[in-house]
Amino acid sequence: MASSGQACIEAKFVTKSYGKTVALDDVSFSIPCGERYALLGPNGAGKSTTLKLLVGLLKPDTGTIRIQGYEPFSSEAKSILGYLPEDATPYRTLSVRENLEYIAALRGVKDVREATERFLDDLSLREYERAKVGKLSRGNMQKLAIALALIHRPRIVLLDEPLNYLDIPTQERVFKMLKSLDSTQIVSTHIMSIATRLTEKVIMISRGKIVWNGTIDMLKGLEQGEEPIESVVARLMTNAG
Amino acid sequence: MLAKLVKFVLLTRFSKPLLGLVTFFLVYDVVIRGVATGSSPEFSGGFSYYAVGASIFFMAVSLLFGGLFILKSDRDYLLTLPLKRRELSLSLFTAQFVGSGITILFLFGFYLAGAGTLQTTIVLGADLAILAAVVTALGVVSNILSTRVRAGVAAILGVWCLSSILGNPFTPVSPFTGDLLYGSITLFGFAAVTVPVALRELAYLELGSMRSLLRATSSEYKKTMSFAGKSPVRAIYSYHLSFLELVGRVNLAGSTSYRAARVRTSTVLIISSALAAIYLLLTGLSPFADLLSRPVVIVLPILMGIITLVLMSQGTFSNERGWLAFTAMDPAVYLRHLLLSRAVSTLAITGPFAVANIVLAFRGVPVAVNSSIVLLVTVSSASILATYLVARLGAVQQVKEEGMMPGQFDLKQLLAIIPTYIVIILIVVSEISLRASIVIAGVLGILSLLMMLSKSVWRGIAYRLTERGFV
Repeated sequence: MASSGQACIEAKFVTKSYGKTVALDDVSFSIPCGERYALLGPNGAGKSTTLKLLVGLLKPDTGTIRIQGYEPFSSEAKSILGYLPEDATPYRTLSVRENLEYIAALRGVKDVREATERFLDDLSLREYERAKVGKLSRGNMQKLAIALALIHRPRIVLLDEPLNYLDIPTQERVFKMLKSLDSTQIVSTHIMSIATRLTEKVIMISRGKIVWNGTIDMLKGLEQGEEPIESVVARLMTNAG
Repeated sequence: MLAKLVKFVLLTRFSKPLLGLVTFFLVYDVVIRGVATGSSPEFSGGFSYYAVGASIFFMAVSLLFGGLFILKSDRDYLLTLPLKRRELSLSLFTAQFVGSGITILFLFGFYLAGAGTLQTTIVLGADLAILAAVVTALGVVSNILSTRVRAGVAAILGVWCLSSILGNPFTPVSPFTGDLLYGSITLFGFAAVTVPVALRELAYLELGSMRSLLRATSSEYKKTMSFAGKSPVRAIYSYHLSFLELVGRVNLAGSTSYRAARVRTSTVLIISSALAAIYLLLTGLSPFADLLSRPVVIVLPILMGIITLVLMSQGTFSNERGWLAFTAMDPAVYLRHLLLSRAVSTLAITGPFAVANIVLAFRGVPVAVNSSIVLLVTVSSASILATYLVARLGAVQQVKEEGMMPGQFDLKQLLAIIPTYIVIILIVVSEISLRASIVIAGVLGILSLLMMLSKSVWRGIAYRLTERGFV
């Protein structure tokens, strides 16, 4: 893994529009290797677009993005990135096991079977291994999606609302799993308890611009009296708008 | 209230420009048919074969792949409202009709020009509308039936309609082979059975949609694939050559389905080979061979072309998962192998018929050579080009939840049908001249090959799909 302090993710002056709608406007940030960031922002702020740009699914209109020095769509970047979008659906016509093996094979994982078995056990998917994904409950589909995002042991993990649909025991298991990963992480979420448990730092986006950047402790320091952290975040987002 | 509900249901499913265009063409169609009435010779020969073949195709596809024009928000909101069942079912049937059955009116409209008199024009016009309603109804009824029953009913219906060519006046398609009176009565009777069943199903859609989701299929695969030890490219071929995927919006043939299902390629090959053997028997060896060989050999590639183009252009990307495939490897490499593997897998459908045509050619049916070239090269190459065009237009929708429309149906998706018609024209031209069939196959083959080799083209498609909301 790249040494701590070196930038693993770097975005410089990135702009992205969908037609006339500007999703990201001249955004720049840098995330050192090994650090964990929460990506916060109101609906439509540009969080998902940011993740899609970082993972190479979208191309910025202007500006540059580097993943450990590589272009996001390069094979080098793809091999170290793991991405989970919001409401992710795996291949519906494949079974749980087939999905895991297929993606592991596409990613060139050396021991496909070992990686598959590991995630079937770690995320309690064993009893559904032959199940058609289209017939799975939303929670089990989310567990499979998390496994698919992590099956190649990525060094940089980008997660969009990773705990959606999961029951509490599974949430705890995923917390432990993500905490144990030796990786750089960006977690996009609306739930502050997830942000505070999974990450140490925050990038806050509103209307396509970064409006606040700092540590969770600094965010807590902005609390006024008994004000919960959610109110602080809401205040920062509202003032920025 | 009914008018408001119909308007609401239509506008939540179809964009205004799309509805405007459909209305314009419908009015244009009626006016032109009215002006042209009696100006063409009466329908017979090729026109009749086309009508019978296309009707069987539309009805069979509706039955086999039929589905409901319902949105996720219908399940969550519309179906929970205290609406009158009759009004709800009529509104939803209207939407189904606009979305699927109306295709019949466009494709068969030219028959009215050959109707002869004003009276026969009116009767044929009514027959077309009833046939469209039947096709619409079959799409809904398919929701109630198990896969085996649907296949069985489709086969019986196919044989029944096919008998019209042999002179049976009592079939739903007999009006188009000249038996206007008995054919119209039979068609009306058939509609009197299917349409009420469809209306009843739509009236209790909350139960129906649940049934659709819980369709009597197993939740587990008995036979599964293994990708362990395979390289990325081998994994892609292993997946797509093992199974034919029926995914997405199968609308072109007058039916709408948002499903993701897989059928073993070997099973498809066995069924296709059996059908090709029957085809060979009928067109080459049976007592009716002289009567059937030429028209059937000409119509077959058109129908096969439509099936393949729908499978490829609508289905290739509908079940694709960019967040998995495009982040695992270069989208250009992935899509190139995906398209090639799917094009090869569709040969499981067309291949046996191409072989049958080669046998026919040796038995003295020259046009069968053209059909073989079309089935082996033209259709496969065109399907790759059509897949590109549909994705480039942004006219393909990702299936995220089965049994539900992924979103509003807009003009772009209608325009996506254009490549199919261009290909049909090219197929028809290929059937006329052997030289034309070789040139068309060569040009399309080279074009599709060049397109496959271009990395920037497919990377652009990957970005385009993501911008269109593909996850």
